[in-house]
Amino acid sequence: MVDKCCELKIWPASYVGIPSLLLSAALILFTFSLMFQIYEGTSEHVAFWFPLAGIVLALFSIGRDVTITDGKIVLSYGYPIPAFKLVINDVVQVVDVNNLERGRLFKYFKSQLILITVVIIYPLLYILVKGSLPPIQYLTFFSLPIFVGLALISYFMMTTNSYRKFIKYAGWIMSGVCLVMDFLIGYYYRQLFGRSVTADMHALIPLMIGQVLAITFFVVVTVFRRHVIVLEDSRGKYYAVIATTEEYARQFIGLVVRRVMAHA
Amino acid sequence: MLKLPLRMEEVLIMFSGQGLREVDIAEKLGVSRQAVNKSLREARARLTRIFLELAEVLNSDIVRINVEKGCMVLRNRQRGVKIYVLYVSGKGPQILLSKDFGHLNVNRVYYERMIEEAVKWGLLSPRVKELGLREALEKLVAKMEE
Repeated sequence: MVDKCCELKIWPASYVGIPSLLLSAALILFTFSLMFQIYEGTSEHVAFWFPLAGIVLALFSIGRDVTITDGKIVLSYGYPIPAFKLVINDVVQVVDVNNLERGRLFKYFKSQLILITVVIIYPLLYILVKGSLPPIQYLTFFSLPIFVGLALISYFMMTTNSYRKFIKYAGWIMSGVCLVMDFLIGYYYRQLFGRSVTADMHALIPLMIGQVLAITFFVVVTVFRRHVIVLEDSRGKYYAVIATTEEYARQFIGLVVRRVMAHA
Repeated sequence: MLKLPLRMEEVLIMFSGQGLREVDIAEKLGVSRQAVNKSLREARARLTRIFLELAEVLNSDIVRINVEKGCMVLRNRQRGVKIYVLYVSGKGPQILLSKDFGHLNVNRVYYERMIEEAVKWGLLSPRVKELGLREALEKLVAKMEE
């Protein structure tokens, strides 16, 4: 018997394995494509293909549906067409992370740090591409908020007792770092070109797009309460699925326990 | 009966708690590796069924179930309180009802046995025995809540 979990509004998350790699690759391609928009020596082909490849990879990493059959769970990825599947045979652990008092998603999926790191170092990459390499005193100024931000995020990653709290703190830190960096970049731009950065839309838009996208992502994650369910197989590999409500999460855990784990 | 056969308990604890490989367990018990593998699969499935039955008896939803560590966290449907369950070898699943560990002295033997089993399953390090019973129980609950 097969249970399609799409009626439960549950879908696979891209936190691990191939989907995680695809998402990280997409993010890096997007970042570079924004950089290429402002770097004058870039060919038009590169500026066109990088974002396109990023979009395709991001679509491939989107969780599509979860199917449960006796003894195994199939996670399907890819949008609008199915791209690949992950099969989990022997589940030994199921956890509703949101319902644990000390549940930390980063305990299971450390690769999430890639996303945060890329967003935080984005303004520094911007400076390196836009201007020539800044003098050492500027570079120290620019690096300082980034390293402070990364150190704070790493600290909260280890100490906050829930994923939601961490996302909230990380969102605040990233917004703070981006704001400080914007002022520093504005100051440096004026020193370099003798005019305000707001007067140069070609330079300003790529800087703002990356930051607006990142902050929107964190606002969305914070506002919409999703339940993250972590699955572990007998090889110690973690997988995650996302449920829209607690009720769906509860039903899904019940299904996994009855139909997969209790199945020898 | 809410209990695993002794041989299955032994195999599961050797594999999960002591971190032995299937071949080492086979050598120790004088059986084939395939037999150990089959026994492990069966033990995990049976432990799941035991936990599931207990969750239904306690009218609770499963928040976490880990058959490699012999533990489960439940949330009672009516009262919303958390229930912590640990499988104790030879006895079956044992329950911690709240975090204040009422009647600590009355139930001392029961709680001490739970801590001992948590060490066996690899949930807590052996150094936890140096702590007081209350601290050790708090550590056990914190581990299940991670």
